[in-house]
Amino acid sequence: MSVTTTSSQTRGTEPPLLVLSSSPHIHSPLTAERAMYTVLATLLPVAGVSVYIFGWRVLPIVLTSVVSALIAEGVAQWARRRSPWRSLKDGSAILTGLLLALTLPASTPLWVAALGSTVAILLGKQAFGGLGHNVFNPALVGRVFLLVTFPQLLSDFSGSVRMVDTVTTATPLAAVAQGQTVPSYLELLAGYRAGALGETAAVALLLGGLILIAFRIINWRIPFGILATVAIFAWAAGQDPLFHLLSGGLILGAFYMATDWVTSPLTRLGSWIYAVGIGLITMVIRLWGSYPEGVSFAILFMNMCTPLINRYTLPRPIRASDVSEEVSARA
Amino acid sequence: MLSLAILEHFRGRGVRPPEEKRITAGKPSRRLPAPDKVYLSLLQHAGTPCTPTVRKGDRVIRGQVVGEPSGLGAPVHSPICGRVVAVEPYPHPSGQLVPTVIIENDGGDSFLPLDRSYLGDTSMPEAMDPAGIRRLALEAGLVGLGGGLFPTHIKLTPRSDPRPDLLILNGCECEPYLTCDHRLMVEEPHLVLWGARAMRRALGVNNVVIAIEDNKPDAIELISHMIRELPGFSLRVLPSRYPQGAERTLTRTLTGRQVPSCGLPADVGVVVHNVGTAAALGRALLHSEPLLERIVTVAGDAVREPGNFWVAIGTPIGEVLRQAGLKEAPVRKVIMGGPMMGLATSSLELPILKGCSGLLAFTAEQETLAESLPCVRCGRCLEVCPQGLAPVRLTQLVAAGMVTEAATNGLLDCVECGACAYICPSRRPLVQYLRQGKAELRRRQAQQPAGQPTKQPVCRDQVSA
Repeated sequence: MSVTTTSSQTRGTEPPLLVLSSSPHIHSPLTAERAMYTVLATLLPVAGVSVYIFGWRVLPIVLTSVVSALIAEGVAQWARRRSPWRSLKDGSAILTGLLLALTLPASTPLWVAALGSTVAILLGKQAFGGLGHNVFNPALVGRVFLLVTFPQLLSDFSGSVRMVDTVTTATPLAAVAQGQTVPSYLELLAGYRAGALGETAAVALLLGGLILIAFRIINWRIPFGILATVAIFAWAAGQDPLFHLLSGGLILGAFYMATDWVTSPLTRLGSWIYAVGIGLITMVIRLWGSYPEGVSFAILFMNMCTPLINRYTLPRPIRASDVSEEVSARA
Repeated sequence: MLSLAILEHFRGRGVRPPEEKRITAGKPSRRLPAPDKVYLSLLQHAGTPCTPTVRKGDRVIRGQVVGEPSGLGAPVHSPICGRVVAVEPYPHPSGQLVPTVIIENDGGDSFLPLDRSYLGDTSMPEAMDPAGIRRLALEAGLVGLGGGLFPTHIKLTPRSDPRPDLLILNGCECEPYLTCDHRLMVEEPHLVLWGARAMRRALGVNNVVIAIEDNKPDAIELISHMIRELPGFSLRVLPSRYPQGAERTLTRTLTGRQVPSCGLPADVGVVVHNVGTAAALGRALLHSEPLLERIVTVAGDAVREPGNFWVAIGTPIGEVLRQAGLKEAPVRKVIMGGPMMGLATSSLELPILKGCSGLLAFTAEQETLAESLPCVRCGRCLEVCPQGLAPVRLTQLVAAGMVTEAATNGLLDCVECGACAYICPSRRPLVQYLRQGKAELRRRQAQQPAGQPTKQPVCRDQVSA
């Protein structure tokens, strides 16, 4: 069924050529494109903090990742005989590239960033049919692909912290796992610790996340649900909740990855289920898994459950029996 | 009872588009001079077209009936004196050609008043004969002037089960730009209240709630002052939120009663009438005047002097727009009605119909139509739907041709308010999909062999106030 949105015609000799379209004739200014670029804008300070902490080598990684994502998107759209320009313009590929870069350590070779980003777009997004059709968060598909393919590269945080005298090369969560000293809360908040490019700057991430919530671009229930679940779980397991909130990629994941419109549930109740699920899986992996960090896996697992969550939380269809009763009652 | 689980309260739902009412809300309305020609469409109501009662060459006078209902409908009257130059199919806003009586104005000033003898005691509405009020509503050609177009005399006939116990007078006017009901309440509140009292009498109810959105403080003050002496009348000020004034939404908000799926407010003992309809009934009762003209908000950036105008029914919309100073060069879209539910028109020769509350002339800069992106599953359409439906799911089903499944998911409960398409960040034409789905469903139902029991939900046409 084809849907024509505009058609013009004139009658008689009337000069104005008028647009015909279905109501409504006005629209909210918040378009998907604008939302993507707003998310990108709030990530700029995060990238800035990252440059400050890790030095200039952050920029080539970010650029490589973004450009590779754009190329992959353009090529895939072209191969699928869709307009490449239209999909490059919507900002989603740039966002995927940037988010992926922010999950990589500062020592990542550029070709690894390019590969991850290409996998993110091709397997994470275009393989499903492009924007709006993917099941998994593309950036996380790219990251997990790199994590399982190059485990050493992805956990090499050597020399990554330039601001701290005592160079810690293990991430805080890995440090706990290995019984090393861990950074203070303040260090965690400000980002003076080992970790991926974007996950260390908790303050910048929180600020960006709050802006997105204020503009109603992301659903507050998701980050709130995840953080609350993690904190409660950590407390119940006898661990330090604040430490768990501020370590690893939790804040980046909760505000920027889990809130992806496409891969998160449609309803409010669904969002709560999804968020609690992410929090629980994260903590299970952190406490008992073989990886020190589990946010990426947790989000992907819950992405997988999203269609099911939607199925059970969308408004319930009228059952056929109700309908026939109603019809006979009226007859 | 049909599953009500899919329907939720309106609170927190709906959208808040920019109101754009300030320019026209404070300006007194103007009466436009009678046009040289009127095009009286014989389909200005929900139902079937009227049968013409005049022929080419006849002379008619103001107030004379030119079309009588055949089946569901209301008569059409001539708003001018003149000669019938044609009775022929003419473009109708629906896009079809509809029988239309075309009358050329000869400047005469004779007037044929309505017969009010059957009303009984006309000193006050409470003393009138209820059947007489209904008859007058019919003979005055009244239909739901909020755009519902349902013949008023039928909505004034009380059901026996359940008996109505509340009349809601809808003065919400939640559509952006439109201020005609607002001006009407400020300028002619006595007609509104006189008509409302007669409606109450005809329906045999005691209580009348007048609902007004909080963006009309002058109307609220005036009406609340005037109903102080009227027992049974009360005023409810509602937050400005679209679609606050949709009939089912309003019923739910004011009474907490849930209008059943595919049902009407009358199913829960509530009757909703627009303030414009009440004023028209008031005018018929007090001045013996049938529905000859209506108040129309003319606005939009392509209009030099936006405002409210009293316009003879049948005036071509181009004529009305020119009177308001249409800038022809930049006009890009002309909408009959409001921007959320109004109809875009292709021609300025279309006539003003009884239900036309607004004429908006938009410039290219006001055009927000854009190429749509794929659905990004943000779920905003679910959040705003006043009917608690899932437009995202319904449109997917319609697009896949699965209209029966769409119907079981509530397709026919959609009131086409446009909140979902307004909020959609991918600018998807959701309402268009939903309309297509309904049309397809009707087509399939019509194809079913007669006598075979229908498996699909049968619904009366939705009538929105």
